[in-house]
Amino acid sequence: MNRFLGALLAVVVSAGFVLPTLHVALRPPRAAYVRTEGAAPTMARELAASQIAAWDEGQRDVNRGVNPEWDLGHHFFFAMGLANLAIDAAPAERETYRAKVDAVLVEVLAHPPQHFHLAYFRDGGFSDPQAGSLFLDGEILFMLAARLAVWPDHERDAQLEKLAAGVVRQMSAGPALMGESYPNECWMFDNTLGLAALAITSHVLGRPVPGAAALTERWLAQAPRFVDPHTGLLVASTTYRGATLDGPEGSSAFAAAHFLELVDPALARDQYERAKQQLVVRPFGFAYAHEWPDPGQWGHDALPPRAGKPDVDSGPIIPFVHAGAGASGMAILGASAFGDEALVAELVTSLELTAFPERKGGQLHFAAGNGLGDAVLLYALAQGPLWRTVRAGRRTS
Amino acid sequence: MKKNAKAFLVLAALPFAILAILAAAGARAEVGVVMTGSGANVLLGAAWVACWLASIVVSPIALGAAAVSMVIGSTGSPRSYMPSTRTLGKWARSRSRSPTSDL
Repeated sequence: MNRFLGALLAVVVSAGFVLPTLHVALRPPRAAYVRTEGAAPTMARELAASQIAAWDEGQRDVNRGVNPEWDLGHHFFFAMGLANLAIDAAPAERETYRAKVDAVLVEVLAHPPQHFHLAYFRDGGFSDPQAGSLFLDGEILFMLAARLAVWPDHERDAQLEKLAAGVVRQMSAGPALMGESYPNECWMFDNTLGLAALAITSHVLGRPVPGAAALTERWLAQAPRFVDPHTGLLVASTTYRGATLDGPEGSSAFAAAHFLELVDPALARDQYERAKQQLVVRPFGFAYAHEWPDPGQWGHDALPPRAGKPDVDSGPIIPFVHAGAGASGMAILGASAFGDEALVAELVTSLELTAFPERKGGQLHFAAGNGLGDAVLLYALAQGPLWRTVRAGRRTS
Repeated sequence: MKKNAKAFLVLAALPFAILAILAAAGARAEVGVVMTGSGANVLLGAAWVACWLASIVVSPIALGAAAVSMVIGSTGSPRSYMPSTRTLGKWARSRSRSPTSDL
């Protein structure tokens, strides 16, 4: 036989066996990424231990040179991961987590808004003259509401109500019911997070937040105007008047679906399924997500203004396979939130292959990522108990 | 085919050899480049990532290919099972000279 053909045959036979079985060697045990018998996934606990240790060592800034937003993102997902873990944790652990959540809130409130925004936050005026930043205000409200949902403290209810009123005002003021995070930039991530934060706040206060129910109802009624007709996915950002800036994006779609679970479970599920269908690729027992849907679906229509351009939200896009770091991380949040265990397993297996996990002394850190990536994964794998608590509160009320 | 097997074994070992060199150069600490795409040692980190992936994906395939090549080499190619025309001719002549050939 020709030597070249022999080599080719050998590679084909070998690859035919190795590629479909590689994931078996890399996949962690089920309890690592799925809640079992009420216990949080071990990966979530290891990620929490690592991030608590980093916090105690004084590590705060997360690649601020690349994007100051990552700093707030890290603080938010870190604290919210701990809040979720605390709900089913032993008393000593709960206390450790509470102290950290409070420390994060102090840290975030100690900085001026500019600290967590890109430079153009200062450029030009907001369309809403009273706007702060829904990105910042929504995440602060969410964190405080979650903190009080897990560790009630009625002395802080007034602070919570004031923050909630600010979020309701910012979103209600907009002609498209979208609050700005930057001048004339409204992000779906921030606005759906804002709606979820208001739902948690109502649960904590034990009564509706003035204007929140009406805002949520109106927002959901007009949500179809934010849906991209080519994919059925919510767009990632709009102008203050509601015109699309960024079309559907993986770094936004899965998180938006998760936040919408608290206000419209049917819409949330629909968005998750669409995002999975449009963005997730699952080769040989692994999985990753694209940042953008296939542009071929637009046909002769114009693509959204910033489609296909990597930015600080998308993170790096791996060439050839077009795997998005941000989209793939958020896909774990979506899959975990919607109980899609098979997809969580495949995404986590991809992490084991490409993200360089470092396990030491019960701590886990992904060397190929950064603090924000680790915090997103912590939240993605730990989330669930807070949503369960808020829903249970609704049923009893 | 044994030459192929040797080549595949070298290919399987190559990523590990390069990883060892890169580790000595401190590349392991630079893998954060995957997320940020920035830093003083971008190329070093990217090289580590590429070799690591090669060691996980390419090396096992090359190792398997070496094994397959060995099997092909030991059994020979499919044509080696078939007697050549010359061999068949010899066999036919020997049969015609045999006293029992007409039995």
